Amino acid sequence: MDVSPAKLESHQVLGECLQLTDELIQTMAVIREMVSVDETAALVACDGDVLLHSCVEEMVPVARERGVLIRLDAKTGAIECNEAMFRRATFVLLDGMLAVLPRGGEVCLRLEEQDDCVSMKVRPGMCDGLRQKLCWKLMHAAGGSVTNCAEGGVVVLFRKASARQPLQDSLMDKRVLTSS
Amino acid sequence: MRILVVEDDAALASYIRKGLESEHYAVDVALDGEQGGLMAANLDYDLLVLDLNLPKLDGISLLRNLRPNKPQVPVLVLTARPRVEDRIQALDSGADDCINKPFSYSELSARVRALMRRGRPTVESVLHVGDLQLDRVERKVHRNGRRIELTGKEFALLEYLMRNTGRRITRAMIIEHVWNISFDTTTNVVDVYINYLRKKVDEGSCCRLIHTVRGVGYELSERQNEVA
Repeated sequence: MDVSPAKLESHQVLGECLQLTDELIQTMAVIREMVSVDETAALVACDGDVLLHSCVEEMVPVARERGVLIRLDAKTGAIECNEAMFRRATFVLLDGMLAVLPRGGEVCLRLEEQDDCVSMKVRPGMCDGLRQKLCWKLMHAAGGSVTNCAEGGVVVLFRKASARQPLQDSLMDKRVLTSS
Repeated sequence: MRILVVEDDAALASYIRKGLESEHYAVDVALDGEQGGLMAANLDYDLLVLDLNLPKLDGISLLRNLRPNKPQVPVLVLTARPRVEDRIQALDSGADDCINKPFSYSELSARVRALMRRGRPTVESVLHVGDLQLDRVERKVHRNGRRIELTGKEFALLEYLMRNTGRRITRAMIIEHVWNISFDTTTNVVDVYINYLRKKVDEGSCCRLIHTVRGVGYELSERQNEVA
């Protein structure tokens, strides 16, 4: 059956319109998520090592599927953090990074003590855009301050929890990460 | 299953959240009534845990504002008020159950399960679909007598699918209820987890339970073929 060029063109335009509508809906959903971020969320003492391991562990199947290696080096104690915000931020961060990295690529996360702070270095970082803004806003609400890293990627600084501050009971097991 | 905890005591809210998350619920926390009301009205929750004494907007006002638009969502009220009249007022304002502070987590957890059962008659502590069995309390999954080991996320995903047996579930619904994120991901995280679940649940069994619904998402049911 022959299809007229005009009909083909209108189908193409309709397809593009649907795609644009889809993108618009997604953008609105991300904006809604940004607006709903609670920037006054309470910060408590969390085991940064356990927390980051468990966040990364959830994304290991996706990394494996995409042929990307997640290197995680977390050697730190308690940080002042809002766990729920940290989990959401890390999910958005890893999701965004894994989406753009080519097969054979690497994501590096390092959590280490640095003077009175704990720094989380992340490479290669996220692409600019609304999702990156959301991620940094979530990180900020989690108690972190985000700066660009000289060698590329980003650094998120968290305050060390004071020794007197009781560590939040963690119901998670401390598990060994088995990436890629 | 997605739960909103509205509680201004950050330590208590965190304690409840951790407990519920360990049972693989997706949990949001709001620390005041205004924010809680906004989240409850605009997002899709399966249950609310609501404190009565809240800054900005008290629990009773939040309930009264919420009920006309969300009559179905079960609400469990936490109260430090010892008077019977306060509990009656909460129930009359739209709460489904009350629990007095201080409370044990096991009691809160049992009341959450009871409210979920009441809200959805098909939901039990042990879910069955064909020869697949998921025990929410024991955290165990069996298929045709064979034990299936699942990670926390895989368990939460399977539970969500089993609670919605026979329904077409979109990726957006899964990401919202299992990952607690209300927008689409840039990776195929849902598909990856579904594939992992399929390998563990369906491989080696005579009939497949997890079906792809083209252009929509997924469905868990005993039907034989892929859903068009």
